[in-house]
Amino acid sequence: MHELAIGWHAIVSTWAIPASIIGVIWGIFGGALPGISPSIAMALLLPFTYSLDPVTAVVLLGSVYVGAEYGGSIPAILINTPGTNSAAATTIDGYAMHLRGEGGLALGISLTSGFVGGLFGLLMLVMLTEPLAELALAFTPPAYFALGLLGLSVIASLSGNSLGKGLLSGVLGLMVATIGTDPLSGASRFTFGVPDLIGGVKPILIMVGLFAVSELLVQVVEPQWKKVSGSDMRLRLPDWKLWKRLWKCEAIGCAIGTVEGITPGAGGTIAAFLSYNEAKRWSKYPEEFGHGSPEGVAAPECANNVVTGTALVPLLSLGIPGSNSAAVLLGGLLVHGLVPGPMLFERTPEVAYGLYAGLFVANVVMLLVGFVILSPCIWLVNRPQPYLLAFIFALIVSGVYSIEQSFFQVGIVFATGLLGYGMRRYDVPILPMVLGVVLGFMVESNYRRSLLLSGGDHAVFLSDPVSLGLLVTALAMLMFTLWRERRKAAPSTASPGAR
Amino acid sequence: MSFRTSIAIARDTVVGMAALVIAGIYAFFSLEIPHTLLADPVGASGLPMAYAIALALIGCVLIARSPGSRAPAGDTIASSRAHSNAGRHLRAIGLLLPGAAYLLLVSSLGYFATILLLIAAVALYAGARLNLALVSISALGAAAMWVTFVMLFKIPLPPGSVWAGIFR
Repeated sequence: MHELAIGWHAIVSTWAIPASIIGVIWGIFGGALPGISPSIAMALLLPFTYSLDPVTAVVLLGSVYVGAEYGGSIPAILINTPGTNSAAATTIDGYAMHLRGEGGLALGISLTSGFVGGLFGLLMLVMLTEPLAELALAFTPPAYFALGLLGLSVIASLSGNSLGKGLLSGVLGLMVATIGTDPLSGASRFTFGVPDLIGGVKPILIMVGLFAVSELLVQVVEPQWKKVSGSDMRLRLPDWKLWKRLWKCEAIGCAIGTVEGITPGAGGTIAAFLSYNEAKRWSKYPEEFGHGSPEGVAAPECANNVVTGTALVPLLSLGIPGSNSAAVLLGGLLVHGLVPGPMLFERTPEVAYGLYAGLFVANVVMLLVGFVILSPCIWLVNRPQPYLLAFIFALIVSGVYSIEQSFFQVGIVFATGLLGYGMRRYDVPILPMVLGVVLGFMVESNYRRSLLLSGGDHAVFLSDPVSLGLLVTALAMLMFTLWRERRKAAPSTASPGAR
Repeated sequence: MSFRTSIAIARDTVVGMAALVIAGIYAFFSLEIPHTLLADPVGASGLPMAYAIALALIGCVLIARSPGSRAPAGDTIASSRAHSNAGRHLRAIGLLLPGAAYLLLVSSLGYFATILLLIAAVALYAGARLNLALVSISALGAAAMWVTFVMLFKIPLPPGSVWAGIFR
């Protein structure tokens, strides 16, 4: 109760509520634009958060995330093009409903299921984060090093089809994290006499470059997305009879979204497809799936909105960003000198609980804004793509400069964008590099600090119980991911011979 | 070997080679890191060297996993697709040119004029037509950016040395 009061006080005594409204609107617009994922929509706003107080900044970013997950379903339902990856499952039945003249109802189901999922995800976030974070209070330098390794072990599950490329991306991130003044000896590393590099390369620059700039480079050679017909398009909420039919698939979405959200690297897309599959399996009308089933919209939309809350559990409790959006939110915290984990709740409870309260407000705002934003969204999606790209480019350039009034940093963002484009084209996953940049400092400084304290004895990492536990967990996670990948690959390698 | 498989393997080779080059350069500069009296047992260059070795090993693994990686000789479909892909990549990367020009010009022309030119140039590059609409939208966009960053956020963006010289 006391925590609830802190959260509410934090958001009413700052600009968090207006920021939440702006964030949801921005997120819905961003999500509605194919190619602009929630993390990109968040990354575009990241530079602006510098000038905001920490509570307003994290609420703004969290609200963008919430809004974008709903926004992604708008083009998925109207033009069969998912605005976000996690809305891909919604296209199957959402678009079929639209073709049947029930596009407004599909959008209504998406909105209400998203609201239910968002609130459930928030509940899970509140219930699970703090107990996990309290464990981290017993952390020593060896334990922090082991935690960093645990975070890096997530790379295995973020690597897509190639573990080698995922590791490569992660090591690149670790390399970037070594640029600047050495944390222990004070020696300059890889600065080449450039004053802007002495303080290191800020993770925010890497994120904006890898996510936003590289996406612009991809979009400039992509064909224009289809136009939306906005005539007679009105959002319609499901009636009581339909609600009774939808609750079961929403429960499925809630359960799967919780598990997938907490698991680093899984995310909303997997949750949405799994929920769609399970909803079909448990439905009384499985034959309707694929032909415009309302349950086929409700289940994935509920699941991907649950993930907006549960994906933040490993981030806030242990400081491990398990998804692109969580990584950008981490960037927002780091910008204000806040490190996620138990200390966040101890030292700045208003930020942690303020984020909870802000996410609640964001979900309510999403429900209200969802009614009125459809027409502006259709207008925006129908704008000529060249102008949209130009404005996003100008926003990136201006936003990055405003961080520290440095054009050198804008150059770093361009260079990172180019690298990100190359990585995308060669199927090298981006998120491991972000993880490397974010966790690199923690890994190196605590590794060396531990050895300094132990006189160079590596046994210190095994004698500390928390460190040992985390190392074993990291190893178990790694082994589990490798086993899962091997199982996944087994049928595809067997199939050629079977033909 | 299918077209898709050969492309994927060729990509692994390219990525592996790039990793080796980056690892080599990074290792070279790691050796240049000065040793100080405050150095701990690992030292400032300890982990950078480990990262360089790790990257080189990953690069070797990626290359080794793709023996005979090239697409079959005379595969005209593969070569023509690769050619058109190269054109697409160049066009995509070319989007950064207006950004580079912006960085070069902003101090002299000032934020308003340069961001206006940037919006127009990027829109043109992305396929917009040069007409009155383009000029008007770019001017409106630049004004919106100016109001947001300079007036609202109070960011000291460059006013432009050229204008200072003219209007002195």
